[in-house]
Amino acid sequence: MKRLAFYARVYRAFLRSSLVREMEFRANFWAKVFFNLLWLGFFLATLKIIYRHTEAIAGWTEPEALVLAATLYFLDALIATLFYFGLSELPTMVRQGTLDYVLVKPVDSQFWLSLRRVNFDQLGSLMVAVLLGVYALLSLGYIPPLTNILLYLGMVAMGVLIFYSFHFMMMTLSIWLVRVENLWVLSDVFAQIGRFPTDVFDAVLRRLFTYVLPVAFLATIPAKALLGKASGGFLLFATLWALAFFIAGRLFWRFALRSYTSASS
Amino acid sequence: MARLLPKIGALLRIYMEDSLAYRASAFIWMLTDVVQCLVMPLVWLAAYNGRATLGGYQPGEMVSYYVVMALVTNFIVSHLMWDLAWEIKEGVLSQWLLRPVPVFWMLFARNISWRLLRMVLFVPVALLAWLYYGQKVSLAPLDLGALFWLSVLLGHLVSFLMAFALACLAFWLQEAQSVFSLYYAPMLLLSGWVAPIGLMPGWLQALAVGLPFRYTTAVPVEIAIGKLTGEAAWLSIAGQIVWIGLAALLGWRLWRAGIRQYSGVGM
Repeated sequence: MKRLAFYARVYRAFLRSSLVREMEFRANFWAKVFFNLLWLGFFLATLKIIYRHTEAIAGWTEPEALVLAATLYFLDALIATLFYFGLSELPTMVRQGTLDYVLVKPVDSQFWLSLRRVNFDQLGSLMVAVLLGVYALLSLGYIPPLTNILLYLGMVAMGVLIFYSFHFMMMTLSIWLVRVENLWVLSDVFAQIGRFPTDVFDAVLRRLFTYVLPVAFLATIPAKALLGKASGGFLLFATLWALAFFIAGRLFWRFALRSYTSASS
Repeated sequence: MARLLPKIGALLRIYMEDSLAYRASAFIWMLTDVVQCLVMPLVWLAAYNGRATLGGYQPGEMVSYYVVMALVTNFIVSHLMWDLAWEIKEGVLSQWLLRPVPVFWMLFARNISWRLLRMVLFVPVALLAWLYYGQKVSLAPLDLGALFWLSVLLGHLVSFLMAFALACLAFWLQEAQSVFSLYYAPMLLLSGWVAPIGLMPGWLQALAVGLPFRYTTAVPVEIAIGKLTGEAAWLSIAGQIVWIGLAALLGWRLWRAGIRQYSGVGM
């Protein structure tokens, strides 16, 4: 309990320093919102091009695909706010040897590496994602019941945790692959597969992307839950998967640290 | 020129070895193309819903389009502005200016070595994709004749020169990176990476004809799958040459002006 209070205090300090940092670069806020909008527009344009020629992709109509896009965008914004940029600095820290300073701190190293940087400049994107989702639901003429919304939020949370653990493991690889500067691309690719409904895959790939590399839990299954097409059983499965991934990530980090030799000393 | 050629040959050898040292990075970057070439055709195939064609594309042509696109993109599309902008800002450029080879040719050798490695790495993936999709749909026969290879080479030059000109902005701008990001949205859309340009609305198609991006990858891919033939193909090749001229002129101008006021910070 005392540990928990200690970490809550540390996290408050992270929030404070992130906010101070944000205030220093206020012009960045609008630039971030602009670029996020640009990429969202880009993805929506892709969807638009396909739906000019058809009424459904693997059974997903255009507004349903918009719900999926909004979900992915929402997830993306959460990830970018909570941990993505701080954690992505890990390979640089390994290369420069500054990871040493992290390891000697009286705080859990995974906690410090993952959560020290909160990117408030992503809040704009978070709002845009919600608006897009609401717009998509309205054009579907469907108001999801409260249970679906709760199921949805639970699944998105598990999706964030799954992506987090995956990204953490990929970043951990830098302990061995010191010279590889683009490990983040691996996590990007992971998320990229989930941009379209995983229903487009054949049975083998679909199972692979649901049960082995669970990209289906990033956007497809949450969006289905919101639309009332996935049962609550999936939430249980997503939770189990997220926990398994989280534990695997933690063990992998501990194991990797045993091979860490430090670049500077 | 006679003195320059052996130097370029030596540079190519050096940068080939250098690229090989970064093969792990190359492999990871390649995964982006693997995903694109796996996901997009499957998305389209799931969109036919029993139709014989979509926007004039048969399923087999659609699949071939993305496989060839991913393959040629590896060789053609240059991203050198990120590194070069950093090298200009950090003053790494200073040591290059002292070398007895023009920096331009050094960059050219570095870029083409890296692109060649990327393409060679991708060939097995493309073959696997070909086998995989061959079981699902009847693939369109590919026309990989001289015209195709010519347009691939020209496309490489268009992309390289555009990226070079863009990188020169780093002589003046502190945050050139934002401009680069801005460049990617029209580039990915109008180079045909996202979808065949013929499937886009008319105004976007018109825009594509007038901008350089189509002349990087879309032209060779459309030639390969037989969507661009005869006179139209030659017109597009002419367009590639025009854009090479324009981009070279722009790049040369910007480089000259930039070098004149480059102060070599970080030395």
